[in-house]
Amino acid sequence: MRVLLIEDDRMIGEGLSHGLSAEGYTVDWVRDGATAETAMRDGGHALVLLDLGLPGGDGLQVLRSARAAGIDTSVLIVTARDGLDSRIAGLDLGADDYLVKPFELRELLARMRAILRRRAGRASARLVAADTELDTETHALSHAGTVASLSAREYALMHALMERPGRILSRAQIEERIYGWGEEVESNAVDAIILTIRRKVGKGAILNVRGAGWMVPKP
Amino acid sequence: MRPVSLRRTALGWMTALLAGIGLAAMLAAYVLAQREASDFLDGQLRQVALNAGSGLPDADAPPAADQDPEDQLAVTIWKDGQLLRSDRGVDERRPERTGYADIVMGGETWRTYATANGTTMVRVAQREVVRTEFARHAALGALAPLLLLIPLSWIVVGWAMNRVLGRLDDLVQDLAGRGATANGPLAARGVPAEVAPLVEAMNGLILRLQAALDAQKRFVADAAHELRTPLAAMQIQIDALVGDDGERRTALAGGINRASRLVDQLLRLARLDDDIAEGRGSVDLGQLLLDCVADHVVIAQGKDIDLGVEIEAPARIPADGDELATLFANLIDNALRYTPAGGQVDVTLRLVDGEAVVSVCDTGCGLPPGSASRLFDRFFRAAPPGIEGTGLGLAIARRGAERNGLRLTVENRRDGQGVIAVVCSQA
Repeated sequence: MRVLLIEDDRMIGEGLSHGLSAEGYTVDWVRDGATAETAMRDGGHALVLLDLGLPGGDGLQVLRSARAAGIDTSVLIVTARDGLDSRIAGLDLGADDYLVKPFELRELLARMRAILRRRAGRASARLVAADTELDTETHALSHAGTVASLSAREYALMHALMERPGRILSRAQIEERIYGWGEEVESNAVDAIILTIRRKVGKGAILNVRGAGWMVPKP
Repeated sequence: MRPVSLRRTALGWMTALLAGIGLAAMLAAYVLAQREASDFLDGQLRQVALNAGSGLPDADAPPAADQDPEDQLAVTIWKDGQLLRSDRGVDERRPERTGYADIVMGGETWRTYATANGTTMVRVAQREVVRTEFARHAALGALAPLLLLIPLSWIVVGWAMNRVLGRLDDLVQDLAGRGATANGPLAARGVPAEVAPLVEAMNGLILRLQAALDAQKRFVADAAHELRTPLAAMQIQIDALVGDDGERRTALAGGINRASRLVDQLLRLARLDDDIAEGRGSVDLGQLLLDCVADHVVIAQGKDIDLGVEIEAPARIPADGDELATLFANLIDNALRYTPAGGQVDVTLRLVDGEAVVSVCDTGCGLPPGSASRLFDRFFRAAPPGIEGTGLGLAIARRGAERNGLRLTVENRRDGQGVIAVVCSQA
């Protein structure tokens, strides 16, 4: 899979080329805005990693002219600028995601995978948390390498948590999600369901926050 | 050196001037009165002498009730070498010459006028003291209004000064109310013309300071930004390192993490020094706290710390959500950092008298004695060795609180089990 890396810093460029190659990507590395625009026009890349601070043209300008020319290759912006404004500007111009330096290679790879998955139209099939994935078609839950299939209640609970990873849901909020109207809610039902899920895939799949509820960590 | 008082100076010089004028007027009045009085009294003496020559007044007539005996004229008359009449206190010797003369009689100086008509001679004498008295009264009369003028001028000038200087009060309040980031020139309206150049000069200084401050803020933010790229490069190089020296790799990665965190904190601090945006919305404090806690659950789990949160009642406060999130994230981060494994961190939102109060309570090592005053200083670290930190967390938290009208206190818990940080309304 070919990836276009637009990055002027030699050390980052070399490191990323090396790291991405090790993951099985073919990396085309360009170091300035003008070459970047040509390379994007030539096409053939599954994904573009774009640095915003480039010599000979702002990275946002590269993105703008590529989108204006009708090139819709997925773009992941990798930059030192973390201001909300430049983040919004990048996403508005049609970038698929935004990663602020410094970052770990693992995170970059995970985001690249997510973008590629979305491109392949499989995004809706999976909910992703830190090291947990929920398949919305097969109802299979995988956590840290362990895979298990969930019952309807377990799936409903896990789905509620994984819709918004990093957000705490209270007992009442979870009950609301897994019980229909008029259905009798058994006390300790939520605890029992969580206990079963943890037994199936491991304790770390659902985190407890004393006094507030439960959550799954953000990816 | 004692500060120069405009009022005292003006009043001092004014008093000296009025006193000088008063003295001069008194002197002039004295001299003029003496001369005028001399001519006038001399004329009187002569008149009396000429009149006395023909018909003699009754020497034994009692003096008028309102007349000082000393003021009376002494009339002496000689006829054919014989003393015909004399008043008390004057010599009875016949003068040799006619006309005006100053003579000493009976130990006193007299002004006399003598006239001779054949065998009769009349001399009228008046005490010199009377003339001096006359002049002295005239002089005092000239001085009196000026003496009244001095206290009156104090009152009027003092009042006028107060009025003019009172206009400076607005200026003083404007200056006193300014924070380090408050920009914009001082209003020169209503300021006395004499003080206007001072205000202008101050405005110039404010503009220069503002520019310097902006440059410094930009520098911190720019420098932090620029540091991110080399840090990213190092991070990626470490990730790509092949080999089995895992321990040294972890140590290197830890160092880069620390540097990255410092850069993040510096940027946050720089952002908190920016001008406050107008028209910020209101924040659901309970949800914000839950989100902040959620962000730290993984860290707490990793350190085996029991992280709990209690939202007693929902609360909305007018504030900037991002800044509040930064504030509470720093407090929770600190609590987790200083609490050993197996400890407990509690985040609570309570309503006290209708005001939202947030506390972050830990079971950590507590603050060392004497650190209270420096706790919020940038780069001050109260941590025992072995606990990492940038020394910026509380500085950032306090800035975040201040910018949103909140007060942050951090102190040891009463039971000595750790630290409690409390955020509440400033009022």
